[in-house]
Amino acid sequence: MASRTRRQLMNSEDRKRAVSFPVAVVTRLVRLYPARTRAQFGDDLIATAAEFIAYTEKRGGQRAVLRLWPRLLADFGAALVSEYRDAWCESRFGPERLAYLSLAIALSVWILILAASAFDSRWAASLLDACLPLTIALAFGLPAAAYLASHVVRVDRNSRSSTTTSLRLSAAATVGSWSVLACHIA
Amino acid sequence: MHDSPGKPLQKPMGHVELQILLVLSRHPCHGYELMSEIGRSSAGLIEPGPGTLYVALRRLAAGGAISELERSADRRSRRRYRITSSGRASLRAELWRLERLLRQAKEAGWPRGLAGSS
Repeated sequence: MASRTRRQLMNSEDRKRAVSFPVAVVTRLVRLYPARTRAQFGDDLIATAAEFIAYTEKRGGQRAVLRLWPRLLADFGAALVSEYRDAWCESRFGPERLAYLSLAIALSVWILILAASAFDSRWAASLLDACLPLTIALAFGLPAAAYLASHVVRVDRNSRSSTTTSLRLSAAATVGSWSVLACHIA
Repeated sequence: MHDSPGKPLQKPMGHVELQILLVLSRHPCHGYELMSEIGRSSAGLIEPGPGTLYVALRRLAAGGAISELERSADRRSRRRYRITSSGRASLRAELWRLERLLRQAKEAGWPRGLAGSS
């Protein structure tokens, strides 16, 4: 009788341990989330994960919980990437802003070059030499980097159209600036 | 000309988002209930983990498609979510889009492809 009670106690202790350790890991993983998600859904996410782990343990024992680990870690890993990518897309320097910024800088540089060439063509030539790599980097590099970051990491349907619009504008500005350059050289 | 649901065609919705709205259109649920109901209603085809589920929930909440039900005074009570009228409109538009897609596939004679024949 006594041994049975002890076994039951041990089982319940093992059970608690089997469930509490993954929950502790999940709690630490949730701390890695962006602050806004943590504040809005953090406690609920932990409670749901705890319930999920407890149900898995109840249904399949500790082995099932062990088998759950890779799935749980992959799931939280993917969710973390999505959360940070979304937070970046909605931030002040998201892909859309970055593309518009590069577009504005590229256009400003070319206006500067054209204005300088009106006064002195030698000035324009030296400015061209100095600004060409910068313009190419800004007009191509930043939108390309923004595009890759927002589309390759994970496709976000809501921001895709706006990003594509700004990228199109950037591309148009680049083509325009290259045409100006070609006319200038000719 | 096919009848539209009366709302401009929106961009495709993710599988998990769609399943969440489908479940919530029946009754309000809390997180774990949603997870298990999605698994059950999709016959195990979609089984979102807690991380994926809350990414989708946050996006839907940010878009105004779902909202949180008021919690009871009991601190241990779980947070429950319900679909909003805007969420219902999004769901209707998405189902209409899928139906149209399926109709197009059928018109192209695609059910034969589902059987595995070339």
